[in-house]
Amino acid sequence: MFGKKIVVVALLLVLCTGVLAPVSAQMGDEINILYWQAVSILNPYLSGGTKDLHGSSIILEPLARYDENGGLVPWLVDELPTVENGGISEDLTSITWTLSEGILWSDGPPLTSADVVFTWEYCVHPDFGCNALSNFADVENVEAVDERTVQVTFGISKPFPYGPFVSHVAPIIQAAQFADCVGANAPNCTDQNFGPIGTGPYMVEEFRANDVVTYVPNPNYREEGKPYFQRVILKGGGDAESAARAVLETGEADYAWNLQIAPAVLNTMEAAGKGTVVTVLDPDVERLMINQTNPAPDLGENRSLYMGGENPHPFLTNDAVWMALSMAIDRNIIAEQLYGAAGQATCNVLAQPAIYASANNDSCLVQDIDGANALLDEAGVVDSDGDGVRELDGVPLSILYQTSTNAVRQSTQALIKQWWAEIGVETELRNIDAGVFFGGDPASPDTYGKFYADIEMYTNSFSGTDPETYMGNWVCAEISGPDNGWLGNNIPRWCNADYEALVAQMAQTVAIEDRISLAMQMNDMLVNSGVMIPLIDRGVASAYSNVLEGVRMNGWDSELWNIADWTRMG
Amino acid sequence: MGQYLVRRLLISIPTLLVISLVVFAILELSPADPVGNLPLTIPPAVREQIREAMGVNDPFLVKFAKWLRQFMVNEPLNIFEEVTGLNFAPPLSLGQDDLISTGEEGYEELASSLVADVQSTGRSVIVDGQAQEILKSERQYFLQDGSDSPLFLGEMANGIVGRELGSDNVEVAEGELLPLNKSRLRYLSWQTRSPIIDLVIERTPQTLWVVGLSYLAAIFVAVPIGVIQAYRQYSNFDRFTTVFATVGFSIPTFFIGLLFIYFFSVQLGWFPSIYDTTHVVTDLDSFLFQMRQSIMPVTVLALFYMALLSRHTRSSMLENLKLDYVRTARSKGIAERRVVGHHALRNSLIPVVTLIALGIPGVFQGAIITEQIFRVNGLGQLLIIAIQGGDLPTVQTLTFIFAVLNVFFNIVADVLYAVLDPRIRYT
Repeated sequence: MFGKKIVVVALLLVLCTGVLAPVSAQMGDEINILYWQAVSILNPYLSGGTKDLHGSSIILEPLARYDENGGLVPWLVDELPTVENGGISEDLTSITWTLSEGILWSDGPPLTSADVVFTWEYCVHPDFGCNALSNFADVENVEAVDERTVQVTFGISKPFPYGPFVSHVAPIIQAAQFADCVGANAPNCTDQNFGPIGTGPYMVEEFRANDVVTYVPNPNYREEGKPYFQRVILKGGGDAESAARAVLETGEADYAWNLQIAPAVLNTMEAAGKGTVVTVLDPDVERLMINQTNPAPDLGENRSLYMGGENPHPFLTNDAVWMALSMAIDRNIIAEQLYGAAGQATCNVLAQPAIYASANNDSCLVQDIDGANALLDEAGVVDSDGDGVRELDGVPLSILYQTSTNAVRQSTQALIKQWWAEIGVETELRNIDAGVFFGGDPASPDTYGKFYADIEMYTNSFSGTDPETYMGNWVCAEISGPDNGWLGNNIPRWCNADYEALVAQMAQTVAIEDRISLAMQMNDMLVNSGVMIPLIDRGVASAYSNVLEGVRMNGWDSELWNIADWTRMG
Repeated sequence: MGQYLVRRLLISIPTLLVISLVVFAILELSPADPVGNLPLTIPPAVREQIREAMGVNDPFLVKFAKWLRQFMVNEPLNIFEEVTGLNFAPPLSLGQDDLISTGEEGYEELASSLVADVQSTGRSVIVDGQAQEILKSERQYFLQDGSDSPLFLGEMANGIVGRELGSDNVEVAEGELLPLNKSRLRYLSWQTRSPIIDLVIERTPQTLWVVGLSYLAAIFVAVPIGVIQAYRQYSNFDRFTTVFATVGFSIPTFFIGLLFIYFFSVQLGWFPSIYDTTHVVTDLDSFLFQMRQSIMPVTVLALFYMALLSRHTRSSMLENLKLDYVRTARSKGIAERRVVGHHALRNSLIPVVTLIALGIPGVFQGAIITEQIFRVNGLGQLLIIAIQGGDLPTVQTLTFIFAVLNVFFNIVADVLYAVLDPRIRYT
């Protein structure tokens, strides 16, 4: 009896020491990457978001991609096609790519122009809802000139033809693998969508949807001696805070993506000294959209309709009013307290790439409540009935200010409401579930496209580095309304002939300096016409372990774009 | 008893049907949009096309009927066929005259509809009364009629269709057989675009391991604690464990989970805070690792159920210890250990066992938060991700599975009740 007990205790002790042995340091040949939003699918054309695109970018590669400075780098080609080297036709309607020699798919066969053509056919198939369709906009034909040469023809002249097959959004897939997965059949090809064959440094070993992806090196990778790691583990789930902790405090993981955490918390974690937080600023600008039309509920069907300019907003179209609203905001406080490493105050709608950012509006960075009050007094927008709210022509400055439900956004709303109260503007706050607000249901009154409010706040952006499409969002034809199912891009419902002329001019301009100057003019016009009030240039903060080398944080392409170069110290 | 069981099982069928309809209707009303999480840079027109391709815009009844068919008929058939190797799809009958030569009018329509039908239903094809196998090579589909020149059904990519092969201009590559039962329509997740049942099957082991282990641990610790508490009512042990149980019951699992991570992962470095779902147990070392990574989530979950169960054991035991039959047993001179362990405990456990059975489906749901914190990524985490991503098919399926568990364990509890308590008889 006694002896039995001793054996049991001894066994338990052995178990405990085994179990309690400190968590061993990671194996040298494995890298652990944490994405708190788990990867759902590895086919970027069917993906539901950024995490999936990043997960597939380790396997699939585009012809050219963006580096961390937003510059285009040839990837599967030797040279970037330009007008000078003859890669782009003089009339800007076609671009010719020549694949590098000796690129093999991970299962053996060489990459050919047929794969590139197939990728286009795959994405633009009418029965297929392709995510990257806008990358292939205006493409009329893609044809294989020879084994390694592909010509893309556009229906119009394209001054910036680097949409198709560029960046992690539109990489090349293998024709042989996806041949049976075209059109409506695409979602049924689970094996293909979960394990695409690629040309990248790693290939899928095991994929558990919404959980973890395990990658092993691609034996046919073109660069000798790369990649470094024997295994890449991309683990999903959990939340941003615990992901940051795993890299910065416990050292269990090597890289953690998109750490949207309170700045104070992140700083404390970084102080533990195990890892580094890196940030890149995106073209994402959090802004206030100012409704140029009248959203009054008593207008019924005509709420927030442009109606050829016959339905103007009762007071927000007044220059003094929107200027005062903008002056009263302290953007730096919002940036420091709410965004931390992941945001910077801005006065531009087009804040990135940095070369496009206008310096003409920087005065807005300083809050000026007195100035705002004086401006309103001067314009005769005063509080005439003594209720603490100013009136313009008898209409009180009472604003319905809506945005999506999100802790940072609600804090921003609260701050701004307080500042606006100081200039005699009454604000009613509203937040709507993101799924509804950004969902395009034409029957819902709460979408951002319907805009049944005076002011709404959200982030808008563009992919890649060329802002032409983005700046084209605010032309009259794009005004959101019933004719386009409230899906038009011109949410503020602003229509300006001069702006329109600039957009048309940009579509014909090739030289980069001229394009920059045009984009800046358009940006200044948007900001100085009371269409939008930019607040924060947002970015992404990620963290990597101090023993990891080679990370070049990239906001223009996948964060894992150069994972082939990542190594571990020591 | 048998009759009762059959009746209960039969009643559960309409119950589940009503539940599934309600679940479907409620989720249908939810404003979740599966493309709402896509970057804003994707234009609305493209979003609409994606929605269309997913079948989001189908009318409610169509979606419900589809789901019923796929979930109740197709998926069980798939599993059954996979296990037995049989094929139940009704064959598609086809006369030789139905095939048209290349170039003849209408051949493209016929062949493409044929290929689509064969692919989506997994039927076999019969030509002139003879069953045919379908040969597939790359993009081409053939009828294998045993001769050297298989009948050419169609080519997927560009729709070139011929009737007779064997002529010199078309080559038949060495083809593999199209796995017929695989191509039966399955219920796909909007997020992963893969069959939901496969996701569920993939994730069940993690959940069962963590949740099951914690439930077992809770039962084995809670019952003795409850017995001792009742036997020594108001002793220091009773007071201490009562406080402990109250704390365990009232502090939410996510808070305890975070405390555990802070102390045992961040400060002490004993246990990993990230659960490795790909870990395979092969030897003692890997088993120890499995234990190490499970300890925190298991303990957190076990604490909660332990608190609940020990309280119930205690009160039920207290009630029984006061009863006459216990006094009789004692006065007969039966050893105290036997009085408590045999006479009193057996009767006290009746309500506890019911509670345990009824609690099992609750455990699956209760694990949702714990799974999320420790990245166990089982069924609970799948549900959370699906809700966040507006992936209604997955949410519907998982909710329904939880409903099935509830109904099932209710029956189990009732039956157990009758088995344990001879006073209860079902007729």
